[in-house]
Amino acid sequence: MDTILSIRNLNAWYGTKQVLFNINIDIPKHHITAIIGPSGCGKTTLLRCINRLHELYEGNRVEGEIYFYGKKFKGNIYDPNVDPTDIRRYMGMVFQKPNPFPMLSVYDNVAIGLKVNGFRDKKKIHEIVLNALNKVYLFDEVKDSLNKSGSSLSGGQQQRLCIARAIAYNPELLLMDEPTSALDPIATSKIEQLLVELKKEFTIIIVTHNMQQAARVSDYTAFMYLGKLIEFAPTEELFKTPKHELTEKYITGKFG
Amino acid sequence: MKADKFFSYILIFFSLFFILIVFLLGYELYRGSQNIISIFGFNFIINSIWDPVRDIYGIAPIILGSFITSLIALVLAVPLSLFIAYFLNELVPHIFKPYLSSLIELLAAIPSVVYGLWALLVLAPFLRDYVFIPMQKILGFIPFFQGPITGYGLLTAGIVLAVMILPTITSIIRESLALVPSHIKEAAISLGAIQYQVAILLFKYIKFAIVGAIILGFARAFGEAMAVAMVIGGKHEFPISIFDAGYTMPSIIVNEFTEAVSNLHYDALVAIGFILFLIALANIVVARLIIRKTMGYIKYTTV
Amino acid sequence: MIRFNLKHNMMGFSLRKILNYIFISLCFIAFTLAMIPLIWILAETIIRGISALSIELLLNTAKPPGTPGGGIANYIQGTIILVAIASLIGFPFGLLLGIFLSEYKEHKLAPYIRFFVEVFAEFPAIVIGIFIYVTIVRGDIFRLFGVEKICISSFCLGPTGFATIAGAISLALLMIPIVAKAVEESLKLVPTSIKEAALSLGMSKVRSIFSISISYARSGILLAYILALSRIAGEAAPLLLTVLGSFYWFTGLFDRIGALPLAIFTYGVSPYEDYRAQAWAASLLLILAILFLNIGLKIIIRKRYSW
Ligand SMILES: Nc1ncnc2c1ncn2[C@@H]1O[C@H](COP(=O)(O)OP(=O)(O)OP(=O)(O)O)[C@@H](O)[C@H]1O
Ligand SMILES: [Mg+2]
Repeated sequence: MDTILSIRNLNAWYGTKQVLFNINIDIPKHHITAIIGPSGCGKTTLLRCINRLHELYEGNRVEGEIYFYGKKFKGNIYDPNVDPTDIRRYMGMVFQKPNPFPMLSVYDNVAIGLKVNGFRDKKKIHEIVLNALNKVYLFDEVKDSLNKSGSSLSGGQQQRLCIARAIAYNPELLLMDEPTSALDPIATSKIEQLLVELKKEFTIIIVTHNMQQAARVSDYTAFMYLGKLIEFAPTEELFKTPKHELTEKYITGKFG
Repeated sequence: MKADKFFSYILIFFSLFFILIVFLLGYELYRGSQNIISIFGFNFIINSIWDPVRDIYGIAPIILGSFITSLIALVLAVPLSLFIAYFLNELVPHIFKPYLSSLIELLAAIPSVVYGLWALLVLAPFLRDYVFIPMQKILGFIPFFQGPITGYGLLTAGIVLAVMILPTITSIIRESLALVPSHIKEAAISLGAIQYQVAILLFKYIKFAIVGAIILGFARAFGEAMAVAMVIGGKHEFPISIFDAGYTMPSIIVNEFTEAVSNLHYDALVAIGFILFLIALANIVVARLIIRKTMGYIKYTTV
Repeated sequence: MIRFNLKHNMMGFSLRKILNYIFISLCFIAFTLAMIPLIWILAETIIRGISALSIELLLNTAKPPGTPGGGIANYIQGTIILVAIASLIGFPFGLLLGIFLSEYKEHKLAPYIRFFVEVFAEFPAIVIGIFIYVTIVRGDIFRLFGVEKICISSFCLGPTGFATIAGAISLALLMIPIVAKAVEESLKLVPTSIKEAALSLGMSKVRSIFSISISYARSGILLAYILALSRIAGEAAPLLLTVLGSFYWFTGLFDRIGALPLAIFTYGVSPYEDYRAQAWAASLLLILAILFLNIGLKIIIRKRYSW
């Protein structure tokens, strides 16, 4: 099985407070990997270390290596010779709260990733935008409001718009931080179906609080606790026969 | 409680008194312009002859001068303000930020007569010798860049105004930039946007505030009297180039007030004040509404 | 706050990297450009001002051009008097408005007052000057009531002509919105818990405002005053239309008076070298006063009164 991302000895700090401890994990290509764990265990931080958002805030610090094996880039993304703005184009991120750009139209929200990454061909962009909107099953719902503000859509539509925005420029890795936690059950199930579709083209890492969701959509699951990776295994295995006591406690809900 | 009642009446009295002053300001300027309105009517605005000796007053060239100088000021100040605002908010390390910001704010603290004195005795001669004359050599084939150069005129006034409105525009842009929620910036960055692309997106996000800042900057430039009066050259006819002397509405008030020759001359200056009042009112109200709306919109999208 | 690592973006030479270098350079250049006039003005004023400054200049009143021994003492005195009277009128007025805006913000008048204060703060000073000229100097306001002047027994109000009091009122009008807005801001920062505690002790609202809120926010309120002061001290346009200027010491509230900003203007545009030199000296004094107010007092107040 191919690996797209190898995280090695990753440590992360907010100021002087360390929140990630020696994380080591290999993320398999074209699969969905779920990250679960109690609140505050560092799931979001781990995700934000992968596309180097974490270090953007003054005082934050990261140590360790993350090897990315993409089509155009292979190597340690924390290499001092790597510009983070260059590697982010191979990754897309979907945030917990839907955050389409309110100052851009629905259409431009999807096109912006392409423009930012140097696409100039208007025709090609148009094609890709419609394609992306189709992929997230949004096109039919918004085809009459492509020129309206991105924030004029409903919450679930906004989140699918954000997914379209993240996949339009064809990244290889999708990072999703609790993408459904702000949505109702119907919108949630739509997005879950979508994820299963998307894994044919992209590798997905999804942080979730919802264990059923992890069980439903993911192929692999990582369990984190207090900034450490406790267990990483195929989802079925992890839920049926957890090796670690903490994992078992967590998935059976015996956690305090 | 009695004291509370009494105190609230005092506050309300002063508040109403304040509103009364604002209305009185408009009304008294209007009344002061009655003579001019009844004698010249609309011609006051569209006529181009200003001749106190014959008591003929038309201010078309003066209005034009006001617009030209203010526009020059905007053209120079707005782009600079955008860059400076981004520089101070997003590029400068934390430790230097307060110092560098207060340097920009210091520009706003310098009195306009001091700007005027500097522009009159230092800047204008410098610009004439080292900027305008070389500029005319290159651009002299364009109509608005021809004619004699004294250093005192519309372009110099516009440049001084640009410096004076720069801190205003910068601070409004900075305030609204600071209000952009971090998840918007993060979304842009996660797409692979590099600094200037993030900047463009942020500026789009606060575009209404930028428009408000521009209008407010325009209002400031339009109403500035002393500094302009000292470098504008003082000419009542239509200017023929941007190097030419001219007048703006506030500057003609300043320059002619002390030597007005007739009552009607005073009235004409008061009428100019009334027009200034109307334009300022329109600008400020529009700008405030736009800025307030943007702030509301930013808050709305943050929730 | 999000910050890119500049070092990172300096790698590589793709088109967007190059555009980015240009953008970042433009940011630096723009700031540097804005510093040029600031440094230039300050340098010229200091150099030319100091070389014109002398004890004589500071102690003597104005003399006709070319006469040795002319000074600017009467202008200094004039500015102090004008600013003092303006403060007496404008500061309490602004303070009351500020209190109203922050402590009675549920009142139905409050949003209107706030709007008018914001608008009034942006009015060009020259418009205020014309307004006072028309109403008080020329006395139109009295004719509004159909009389030349309004008398209560032997005490009369009427057209003042160019007068100290008219100038002070115009400066007071400039001061009111600045003070009101800044006072509102600083009173807003008083924690609600403190206000509520005061009220729950049985204090009347007036007492809680004056003895608790205002004393809690005193450094902010002092700063509001200083801000307004440094703004009006340099105003020339409204003074020109209301006090006109004078060569002599202050003689009375209803007489003309000189002021530093007026001297800078009239001396600056005059063709006489000695007058121009004195204009620089006056500028230097004004700038020193404003810098002192802006920087010096701010630091002192923060140290002494902050919580
Ligand atoms: N900006 C910050 N400054 C300081 N500490 C922070 C900051 N953000 C998060 N932390 C701390 O870092 C740790 C990990 O936070 P993180 O957001 O990664 O947790 P999480 O697993 O995503 O939690 P949740 O499930 O609630 O989203 C927590 O202990 C949190 O308190
Ligand atoms: Mg989280």
